[in-house]
Parts: sequence; structure tokens; C-alpha cells
Amino acid sequence: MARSLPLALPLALLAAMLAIAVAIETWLDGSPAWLPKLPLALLLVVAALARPDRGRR
Amino acid sequence: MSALRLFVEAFTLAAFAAVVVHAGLRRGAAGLGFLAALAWLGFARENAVALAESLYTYGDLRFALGKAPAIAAVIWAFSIRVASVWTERVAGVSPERDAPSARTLLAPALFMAALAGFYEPFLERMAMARWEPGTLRLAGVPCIALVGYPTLTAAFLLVWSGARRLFPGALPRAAALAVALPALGLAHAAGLLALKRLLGW
Repeated sequence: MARSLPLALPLALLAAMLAIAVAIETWLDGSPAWLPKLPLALLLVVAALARPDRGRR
Repeated sequence: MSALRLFVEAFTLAAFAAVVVHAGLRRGAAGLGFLAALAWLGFARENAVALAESLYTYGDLRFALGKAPAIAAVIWAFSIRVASVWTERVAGVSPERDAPSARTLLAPALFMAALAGFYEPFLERMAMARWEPGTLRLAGVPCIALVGYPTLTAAFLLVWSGARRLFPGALPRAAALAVALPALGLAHAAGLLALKRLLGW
């Protein structure tokens, strides 16, 4: 059970929060503030492209 | 807007709960201990900031832990755990378990600086938190936050690993962290405010 949980689940939660923020800002302002979100989005992409569960556990 | 704020609060608290369950199932007591230490740090630091009304103030939020909004108290734990997971996945080292090194400290610090770019403008847009007037910003992100997020993360990891090394037993370690982490949180908030004043940020 424990090991079947992907290590990256917390990263997926953060990605969901980022998507929600983009949706809310788009709804309120017509478009989100992309620039300050870009570094985090890039780091999340890097994690998605990394070898799965590279860490020990 | 208040309904949106409530949704963001509820989602953030649910995400924190999910991260607690995830850490507990994957790493057991050690994982829960790491999050408990972070939650204690966040609770102490954000309550100190709220009581002092320094650096930033909070908007009208529904859930509180002490004088601070609940999401402010738990967001450090959520974020630093996510930064730790990112480091483990990308750099192959664990800031929670491995001895401090450039990779275990700089990788989560980098991640936290990027996280500030997401959190701070969004919290301000949602009127959930507001930095003091005249705060210097870079692309909408308070410059001092780009210092505060990574430095608190690195300082916590140093205290965490130091406590693990000096106090092998769980109870002495918990007692040491119970004293050291509020001191760290208060010193960090005070230091950040002093730096902000010094630099005119």
C-alpha cells in the first residue's frame, strides 16, 4: 500500500493548485499572471520528466 | 470573491491533509515527524507575524489556528514537504533523511523561491494576504519573499538534520525541536523585516 503510492503525489497536488489559480485569475481578470508562475511551472515539468521514483522511497 | 477564498482555503487544507496521509503511508512515523516539525514552525512563525502585524497582514479568512489563518500556518509544511519530494525526484537526494549538502539545501531552496512566484501574487489578487505598502516587487513578487522562502527552508533543514544527529532518541529530539523551531520562526521573521528595512525593499 505504502510503496504503491507514487512519490510525486504531492507534486501533483501542487500542480492542481497552480491550475486552480490560473483558472481563477482567468475568470477574474481575463488572463492569468503567467510570468511569476513560469519558474514553478518549469520546475514541475522537470520533475515530470525525471525518472519516476528516482529517490530511494 | 469570499466564496472563491473559501474554496482556496478548503482546497489548501485538504491538500495538506493529503500530504500528511501520503507522508505517513510512505515514510511512517519519520514522515509524520517531519511534517509535524514543519507545522509547528509554521504555526509559531505565522502567529508571531500576525500578532506583530509586521511584514504582511492577512485578509478575511474562515479558518484560523491561533491568531493566524489556518492555511498560513500549514502552508510551510505543505510547501517544504513538496520541495523535499521535488528534490528527491529530480536530484536523487532526500533533504529529510540525508546529511546537509549543497544539493539537499539548494534544490529545495530553489523550488521554494519559484513557489513564492506562484503564491504571493495570487494571495494578493485574492485579498488573502497583503504586504506592507511600498514593498518592492519583481514581476509582482515581493523581492523579500524571494529571500524569505528559500532561507526559511534551508534554515529549517539545517535545524532538522542537526536535531537528528544530536538527538537520536525520538523524545529528546521532539523536545529540542519544540524549543528550537519557534525560535527559528521568530528569528527568521524578525531578520527578514530587518533586512527589508535595511535594503529599503
